[in-house]
Amino acid sequence: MAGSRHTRRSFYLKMVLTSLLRRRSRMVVALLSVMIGATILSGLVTVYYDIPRQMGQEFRSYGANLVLLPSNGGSSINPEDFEKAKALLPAGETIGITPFCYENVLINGQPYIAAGTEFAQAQTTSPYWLIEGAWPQAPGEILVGREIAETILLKPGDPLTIEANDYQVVGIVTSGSQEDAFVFLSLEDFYELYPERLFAASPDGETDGLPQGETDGLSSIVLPPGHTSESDCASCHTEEFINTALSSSGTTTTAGLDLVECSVSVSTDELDALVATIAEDVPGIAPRLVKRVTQSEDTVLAKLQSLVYLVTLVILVLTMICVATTMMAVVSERRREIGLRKALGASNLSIIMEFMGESLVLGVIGGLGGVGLGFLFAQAVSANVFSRTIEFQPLMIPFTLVVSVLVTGLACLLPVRGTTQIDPAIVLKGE
Amino acid sequence: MNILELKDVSRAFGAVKALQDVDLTVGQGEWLAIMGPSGSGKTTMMNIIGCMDKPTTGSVILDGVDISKESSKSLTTIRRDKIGLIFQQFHLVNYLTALENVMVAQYYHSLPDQEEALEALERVGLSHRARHLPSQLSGGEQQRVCIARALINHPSLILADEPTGNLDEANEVMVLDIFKQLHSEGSTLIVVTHDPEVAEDAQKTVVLEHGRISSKR
Ligand SMILES: Nc1ncnc2c1ncn2[C@@H]1O[C@H](COP(=O)(O)OP(=O)(O)OP(=O)(O)O)[C@@H](O)[C@H]1O
Ligand SMILES: [Mg+2]
Repeated sequence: MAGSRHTRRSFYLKMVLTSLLRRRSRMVVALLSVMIGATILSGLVTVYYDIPRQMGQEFRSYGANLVLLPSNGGSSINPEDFEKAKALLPAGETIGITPFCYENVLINGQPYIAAGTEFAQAQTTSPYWLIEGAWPQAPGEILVGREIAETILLKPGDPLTIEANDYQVVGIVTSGSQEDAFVFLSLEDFYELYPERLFAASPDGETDGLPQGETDGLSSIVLPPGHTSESDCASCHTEEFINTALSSSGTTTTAGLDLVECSVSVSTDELDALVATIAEDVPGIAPRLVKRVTQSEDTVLAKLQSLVYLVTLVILVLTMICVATTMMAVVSERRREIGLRKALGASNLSIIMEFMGESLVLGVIGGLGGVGLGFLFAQAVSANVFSRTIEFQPLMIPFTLVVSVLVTGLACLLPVRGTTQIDPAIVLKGE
Repeated sequence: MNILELKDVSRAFGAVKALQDVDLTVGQGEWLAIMGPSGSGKTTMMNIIGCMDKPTTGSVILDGVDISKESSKSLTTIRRDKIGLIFQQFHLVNYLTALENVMVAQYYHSLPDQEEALEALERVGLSHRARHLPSQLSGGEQQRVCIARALINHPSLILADEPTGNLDEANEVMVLDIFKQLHSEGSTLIVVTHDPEVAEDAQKTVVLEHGRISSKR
């Protein structure tokens, strides 16, 4: 019995395959359309799932997406907490971590803000800063905001005296926001200028700054209500965080950092998790997402992904139309043969099975070709658009196969249904 | 015993009355020839006997079963089990070899059996052409493949609608020889023909005119 079932099946297979082979020129068209459809499908889906990873890097040119602020308990971040938080950021994904200290300063009688920072890190978290001249390299070299430079006519190379200390302006920074009214010094120079901001733990564990308890009291009075609470500021900007930091440091002289900007190349969800971890593990620090950056990332991603989704859908529909048209033509070409098969005793079901068998073969071959070509396609897109390589996802094989078989099967449904209408008495009569 | 009985069979296509009140019986092992001018209803009658069409009125009893009221689905089954069809235009599947064409009939009937199919081809003198495609065969050879295919499932009734209509003299003789052989072995044959010579070999001849039987011999 098994043997007879075998002969039946192998004869069925032989008919399906020879039929496909004999109609090569027509079937190649159908096969090509299935393959192109499957290629674009698997290619785009691969890219689709890789976009967040691919774009993550690109997005970091927006600058920091996470800032660390002193929590309710303090008006500045002590270095110990800073190191702890730093350790919690994923090393491989972290583009930059830039600490900032702010003090109000008078330059030529005008009030500006002096900011101490690490220039090497600032370059990574604020890649959008336009620097005329160069980034400071050596002690005594500073950056001056565009607004200050224009007011007091400074250009790169000019000397500048701040509170009796002499510096050399090496670059003019344009950020388009309040940094234009800042003077940027290295942290070392900043501490020299404001030694009371240097947070140095003395051997016996006492701190240089104000006793912790008093700081708490001060800061809670000084801070405007709501600023450091866990309020959900939907449009939190870095500037706001700087304002918060300034409003506290301007009136207090607490040692430590006022603000840390971090640029981390992970998804919004992972960022949220990171915020929760830091808040939990480092009570002295209040981590905040820079919503303007993270939200625009999410928007861009959503738009890109829905674009990919749409293109894929259109391609699938086009594939279906092409396969359906081809099958329609094949069925009408084979009316005589179908009539003959019926005259020989074939049921409608067995005729349908034969055509669906052909479409299944088309779907499988087209799908397999599509997986391979789709990977090359995704690789090419990735290399040209994102300048990155993409990893082959083995799951794409079954996925593409199933979709291309379904799409071909669906496309064949209508043409194949037409075979049931063929009357052998009529089609076999004509010359 | 009669293998086929037509009682008062009429078939109308709209206003066209292709068959009118036809009565006919065919006994087991008989060879019947059907003649008549073009348009007289010969093919219409063959389609009804061959379970590919149903009469408008009247009954058709094939092997003891009234097929005039059957659904088209069960007609397909009856056709598959009882009828062997031979056409004027041969009608072979053009992408299958001679052998495979014979096996197609086996496939729908029961099981493809290559040995048996080869034997059938041997009977019509074509075993050496078994692996050829229809396009590589002459008209006469194609018709013999058709005959082998019609025989393969041991039908109760072999129907041939102008089997020699597209053949030359030599091939016609060859096909007729096969029919004679089948007849002598006890097969029941109904053959439509224009050719009186072909009809001569049959035991019985009916002539159709305007859908009616005008004479029986
Ligand atoms: N499907 C159909 N629809 C309408 N009219 C039909 C149909 N089939 C046959 N006819 C008509 O029925 C009549 C008989 O046709 P039939 O094909 O049986 O003739 P025939 O005797 O086989 O002729 P020929 O010798 O040319 O093959 C003809 O007038 C034909 O036009
Ligand atoms: Mg006819």
